[in-house]
Amino acid sequence: MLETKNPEIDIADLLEKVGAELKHQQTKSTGTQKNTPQDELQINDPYAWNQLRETLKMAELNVDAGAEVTSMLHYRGIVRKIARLLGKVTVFLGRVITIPQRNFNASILHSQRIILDGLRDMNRNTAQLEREMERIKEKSALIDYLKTSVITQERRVSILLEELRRQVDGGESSNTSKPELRGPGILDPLYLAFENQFRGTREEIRQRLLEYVPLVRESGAGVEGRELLDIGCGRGEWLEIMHDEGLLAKGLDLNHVLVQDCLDRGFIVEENDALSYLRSLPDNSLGAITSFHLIEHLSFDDRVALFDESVRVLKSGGIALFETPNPRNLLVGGCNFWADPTHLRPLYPETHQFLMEYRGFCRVELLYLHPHEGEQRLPEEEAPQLAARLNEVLSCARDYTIVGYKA
Amino acid sequence: MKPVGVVIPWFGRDLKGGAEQLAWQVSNRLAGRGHGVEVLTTCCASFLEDWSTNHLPAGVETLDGLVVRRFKVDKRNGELFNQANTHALSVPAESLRPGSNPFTFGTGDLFVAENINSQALERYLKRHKKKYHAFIFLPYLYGVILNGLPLVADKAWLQPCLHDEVYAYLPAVEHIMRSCRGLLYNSLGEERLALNLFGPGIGRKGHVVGVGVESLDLDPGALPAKVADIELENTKYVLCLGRRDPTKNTAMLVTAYQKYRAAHPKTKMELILAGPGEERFGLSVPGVHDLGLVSETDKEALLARCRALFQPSRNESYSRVIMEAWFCNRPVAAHGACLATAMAVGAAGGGWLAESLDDWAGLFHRLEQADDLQLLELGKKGREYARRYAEWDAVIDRYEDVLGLKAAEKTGRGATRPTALRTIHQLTPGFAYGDAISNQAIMIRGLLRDMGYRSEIFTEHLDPLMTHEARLFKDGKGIKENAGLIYHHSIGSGLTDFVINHPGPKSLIYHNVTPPDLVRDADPELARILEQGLHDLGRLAPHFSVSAGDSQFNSRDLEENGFSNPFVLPIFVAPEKWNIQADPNMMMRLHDGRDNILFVGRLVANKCQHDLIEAFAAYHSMYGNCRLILVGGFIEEESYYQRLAELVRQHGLEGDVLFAGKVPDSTLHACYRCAHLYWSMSEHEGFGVPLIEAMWFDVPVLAYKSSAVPETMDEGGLLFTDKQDFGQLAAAARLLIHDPEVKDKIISGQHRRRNDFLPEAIGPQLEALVRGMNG
Repeated sequence: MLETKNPEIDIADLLEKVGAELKHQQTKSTGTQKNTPQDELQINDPYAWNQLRETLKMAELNVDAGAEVTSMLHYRGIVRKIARLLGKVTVFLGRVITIPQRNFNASILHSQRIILDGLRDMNRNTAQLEREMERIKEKSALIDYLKTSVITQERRVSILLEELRRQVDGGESSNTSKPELRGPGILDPLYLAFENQFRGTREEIRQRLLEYVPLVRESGAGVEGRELLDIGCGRGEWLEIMHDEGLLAKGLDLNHVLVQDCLDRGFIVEENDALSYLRSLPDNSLGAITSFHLIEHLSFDDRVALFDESVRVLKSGGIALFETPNPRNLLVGGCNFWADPTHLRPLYPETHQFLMEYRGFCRVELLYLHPHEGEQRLPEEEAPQLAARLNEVLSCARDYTIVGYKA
Repeated sequence: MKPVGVVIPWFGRDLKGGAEQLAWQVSNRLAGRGHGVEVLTTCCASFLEDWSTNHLPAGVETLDGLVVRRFKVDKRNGELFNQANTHALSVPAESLRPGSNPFTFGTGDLFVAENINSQALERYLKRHKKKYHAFIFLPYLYGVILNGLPLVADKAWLQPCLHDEVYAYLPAVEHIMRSCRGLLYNSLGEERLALNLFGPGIGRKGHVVGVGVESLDLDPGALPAKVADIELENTKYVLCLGRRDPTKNTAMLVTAYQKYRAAHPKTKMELILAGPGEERFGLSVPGVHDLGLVSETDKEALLARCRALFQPSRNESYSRVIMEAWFCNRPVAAHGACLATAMAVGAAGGGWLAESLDDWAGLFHRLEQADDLQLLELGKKGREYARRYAEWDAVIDRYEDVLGLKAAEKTGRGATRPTALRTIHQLTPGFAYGDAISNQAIMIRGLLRDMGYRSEIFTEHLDPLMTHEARLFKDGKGIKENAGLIYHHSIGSGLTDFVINHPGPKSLIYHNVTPPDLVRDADPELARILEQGLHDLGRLAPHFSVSAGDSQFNSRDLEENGFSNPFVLPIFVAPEKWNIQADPNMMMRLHDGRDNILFVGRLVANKCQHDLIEAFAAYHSMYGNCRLILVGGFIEEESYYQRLAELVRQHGLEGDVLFAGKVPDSTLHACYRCAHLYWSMSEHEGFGVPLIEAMWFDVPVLAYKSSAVPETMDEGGLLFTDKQDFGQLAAAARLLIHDPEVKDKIISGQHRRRNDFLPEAIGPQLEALVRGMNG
């Protein structure tokens, strides 16, 4: 099937070589090597880039316009001589205009070339930076993974120590476990009434919560095997959104009346306290954990335990999202926060960002939400600086959210 | 005859340095043969002095009967120059890539502007260019040369004395290499290096003239028996001659000798070093003698009695001492990675090549074992080579030839017009940048003008980028009734009626009409125009008594359509088209170690890019580390492109197949330069220009035997007759890329074939066509 007229090549020999090459290749492992890095050329990119270069070249050809007489090849003999003479005279007289024009051409071209070179160098540097960035990303993912595994080991050690202490103490401490989070059931209807009065209407809350949907979707949670758990689901606004979005979610609340209400609406809800429910779950079993206006009800120890358990039960890449009132807003911190008698204390944002990172979450971020708008803001016309300053502390975000991921 | 100007930054009888010595010798010897020679140089005394000081007076002086014009040097900022130079020298040698500028951030401009320059010399060149027959500029990397040569480019021969070093990658150097009229090389290796760096565009204007050496026909009796207390007659030694600096690799040779001596402690073989330089070796190494600078007589004595000369430097464009050793019948060892010396040793067969430390150590042992007769045999082979390339008489003969200094033969224009016609115009439906037919028309116009005709190109559709090359056709304006007319036919056009009715002498060149069915799905409008083109061919036949196809394949088509006795006028494919800068970005991207497989042609079903992707997938799965580059216009929405893109996805080759689109010549230049294989699966080629272009870039061609392909390829490249077994094709492709023996044979076949499409080869056929027009 191979042919050539080249007398130096013996086709039979060549075919034999091809056969040998094929055989040699077949005996080797058939795994294909993938090229790295990927060819990053865009389809039409080099064309535009080179158009620039080509047009510049065209400009270069003409940079000396008016300096010399053209060769006038289409004339011959005496006609050509006369044409060239006339041309020379014209060129000579035209120098008044053409000399500054040529200088202008040359300087513009020169600067264009410098710009083009600079652009190319910058392109090269950008490509290098991008590669560096990829490397850093990979490294940072590794660090996150290591961090999680260190935390898991720490927890195992502390459980073992606890176990050991219990055995040494002979089980004495079993009765001294912390009181349950759960409030007395008798106050449940009261809290529902309170929520309706102070928390805001169902529709308002829904509107605010909608902002979180993209975050949940991006993390890949809410699907089979990566369900979402909403702790302190309350009246179920968030569960409703999840339901509307077609995402799988389960709610948890201590308030018997609220739980019943949610069950009536057709949501999956359990009446249980957060920590004991989480402790009952196996490792790596959830896609997302959310809780809105819950952690300010918990003691410090319970908050830390909540973070720990969340890291444990989330799957890799899973998201945890905790919303709480923002004490940086003085109205909230100094007054509104205390409207709820069951709140323990305002939570300082950076402390909790640190805490989540320290307990094993990665990419932990603070989102500031729901600022006061419109007439609630001080008008800035009269004393703009003062108004701006006051707006900054009085009308800024009323809530903030800590978002973290499991590596 | 007018004098030859020799332009060099420094000039004097006693100046050291290869280029300075060469300039002295060539100027004097050309003058000795009675040619007028003037040296144009600066008032700076030498390379080693301050480049902005005028040590010597400006004006004309006579040195040994030679006219030397000296010009004042410009003030310069040495600090800036040093910064630019340091910046360039910090680029590691392994990261240098042909076509990519290592002088980033504008340092290249600084390097040239703050180099040794002389505006006075530049002014002189501009004003007095006409007084000179030709100029020789040397060497390549100084401001005087870089800025002076472009002023008289059409009379300038550059003798670059090129090295593979960072300066050779400076854009200004590429500019003078491309714009000069001709290139003079000192050695075959230097020529090869230049082709590697700048591609085939500069190939045909280069000439290896060689460098002369005083032939050493020595009388052993007259030579001193002892040099620096060493009894040469009774000592077995290897000689290494030359200046010491880190690039000359002398330290490596000493280490290799120590290694050899450690393995053979009883050896009698010694190593003698001689030459200037501050670094000294061997003061404490047994068996090594470093003599420093020695007299000419001592050098001759050392050469005449050595076992062999070792030249370990990797950085030579030419090595005088190698020729000197050969004139003494002594064999030579050179560094395998130094193109210039390695090619000389390889071509002469006068010695050995070595690269690693172990290679060099092994050579000492081999020399100790070899008997005197073997060594003499090798030395004699070297001597033959030296006589051819390094005897001054032969060298100066070549200068005379190249510069046209021998009694000039008259080649007056206008005298060779083969017919009574005065004007022959060409008419073509479209005229576009990068288009093969348009390029052909330009070539034909050049040849017609050379024959003495007035000639223009007229076209119906003119690409804005090409307005300087052709005129827009407007109802025959500018084409007189009695003018000759060559009509290029390849598609339906509104010109048919005009050419049929043109009363003057005329001929038709047929470039094949793509069968309309092949494009009907993708572009119904184009299919309609092609159909008209086929239909018109029949209408044109009775009106054209003279016609030509650009291949036998196309001529047969003409005959079938009623044309009688059509000629064959192949398309001109000359490498000078590629005397342009290659797109540096593309060069950098494609030089990444992968096997680059190239095909050039519009994305249409009859070019069978789909088969090529399948075959490439086979190659990829067998060998990996490869890339397929498809150059050729396409529209993203077209179904054929969509089909190809889907095929690429199916095979998981997204990162490995590059749809480059329609690209400018500079990018295509880069693709050819970086390609390792040109692979065509096409089932319809009327001629196949890229097949020949690939041959000029020394890219092996593997092509499916169809339409005009076998005729175009002839003994070039490798054909295959069926597409059944992609695995087998992939294995053949692998051999063409990676088996040096197969590749070399294919390339040498391609070297022979590509010459058949040069203007000088096809010119007579065009002349026959013109004669037939019966003017």
